[in-house]
Amino acid sequence: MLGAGIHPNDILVVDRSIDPVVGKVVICALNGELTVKRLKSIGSEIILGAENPAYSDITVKEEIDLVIWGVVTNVIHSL
Amino acid sequence: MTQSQSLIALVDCNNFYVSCERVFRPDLLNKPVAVLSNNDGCIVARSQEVKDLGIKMATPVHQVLYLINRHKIKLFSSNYTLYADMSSRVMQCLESYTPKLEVYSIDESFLDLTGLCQNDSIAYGQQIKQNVFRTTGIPVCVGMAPTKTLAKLANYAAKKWNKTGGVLDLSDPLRRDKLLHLVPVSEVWGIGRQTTRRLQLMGINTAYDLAKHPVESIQAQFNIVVARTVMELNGISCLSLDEIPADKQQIVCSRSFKRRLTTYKELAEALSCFCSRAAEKLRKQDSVAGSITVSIKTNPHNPDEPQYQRSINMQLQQPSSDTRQINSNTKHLLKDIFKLGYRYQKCGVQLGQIQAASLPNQIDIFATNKQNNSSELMNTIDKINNRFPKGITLSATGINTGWQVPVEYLSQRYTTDWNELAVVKCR
Repeated sequence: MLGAGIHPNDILVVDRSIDPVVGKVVICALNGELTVKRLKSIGSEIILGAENPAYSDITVKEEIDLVIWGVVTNVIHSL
Repeated sequence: MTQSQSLIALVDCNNFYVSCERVFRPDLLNKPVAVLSNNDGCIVARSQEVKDLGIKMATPVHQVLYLINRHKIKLFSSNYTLYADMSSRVMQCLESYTPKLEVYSIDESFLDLTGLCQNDSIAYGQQIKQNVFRTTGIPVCVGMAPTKTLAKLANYAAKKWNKTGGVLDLSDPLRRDKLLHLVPVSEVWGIGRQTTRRLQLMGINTAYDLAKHPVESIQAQFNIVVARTVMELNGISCLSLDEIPADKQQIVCSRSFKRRLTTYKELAEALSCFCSRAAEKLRKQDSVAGSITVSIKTNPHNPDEPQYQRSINMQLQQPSSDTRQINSNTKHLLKDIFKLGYRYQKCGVQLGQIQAASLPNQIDIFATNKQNNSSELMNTIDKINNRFPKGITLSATGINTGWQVPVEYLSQRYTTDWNELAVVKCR
């Protein structure tokens, strides 16, 4: 998630009460694992963006076990 | 339904401890999960999957090891720091739905919704349910009715029957009667095992039977409490919402040990620790205790060993909340009942005759008040321990805590400790 300004070992502030709309950086449980992604859309498809050229984006399909956990509002990055 | 009819909701978290663990472990959704009691002895919270395996509440772990292994049940030690914090988040969310709320226990609250639902109580209930889940991740069920007892029943039904969508309103007398027919009398709030047995002898088997029984005859044969329950089942409110939690009347700190304790010293150390914890609880609610009970026992499930069990009680000359005073009295009591040659499995301290510290108590004219500055000292210790947990322990509290068995399956304190935050993958 370097493209979103999120680096390894940063602390994320997460607000569960915000609507996870396209454009937001979200915490999601992807096949049971907590990950951080940016919600994007192409046409009618919802995409989980990795914001890092080293990883590929994931298109949300029916067979994916996905729960949006909360919306990331801030990053705390130690220098 | 008219606006003037009162409407009480009981919001109860589903499998609360398990749900708390699952919020931060989405991989455990739909998997069997159980939370264990202090010292990992018994199962105290079960996910639906575990309930479906027929494992009952409070089952000792060692009795169901084969099920745990075969079905890969994920076990957790009790993480009370996490549960208490999640509970306060749930209650905070509920507070936005009513000005009158009674926190009834760690995982349930009564809400007075009279006049707040604009004739669509189910929609309001669904909104509560969905918002609690969204903001905290904890699933809840909502039961609504004109009285607390019926709200409890409504919640029981909302949990039991999926068709309700987790929200049920029993304001309609016809629906209410239909449900009361289906519910065994033992499930009615406030009806204990003894009362159930006596009611059954009278031919009262369902909640409906109880509701239709004449109140006068119930009051004559039982007591006012059961009579009130009958009125409440008929939609007549007798129990008001307690917005201010009542102080504890009794504080108990006890533990079963995995390893057996055999010496006076070991027991005294364990009891010391319980004393400081009990005294701390006492001071937290600004109370003092007038009596102390100490109990010790061997393992009753092991018939091959010599059995011994004893408890002893004393009145304090003057009610106190001073750890030192409670501690030294506890040691004297232990000396009186301790017998060498037994393998002790459990011991505990119970503080009774609890009253507000500010209450002018009858001062014993023969009592010598040796601990004048006690409250200041205790206050200071509590403050320090609040900021630095386990910072100060009083002299008698065992430095050698060999009796303590480390808990094996403790999860992180995700919400209260910077060093134990949930970690997410970034790829």
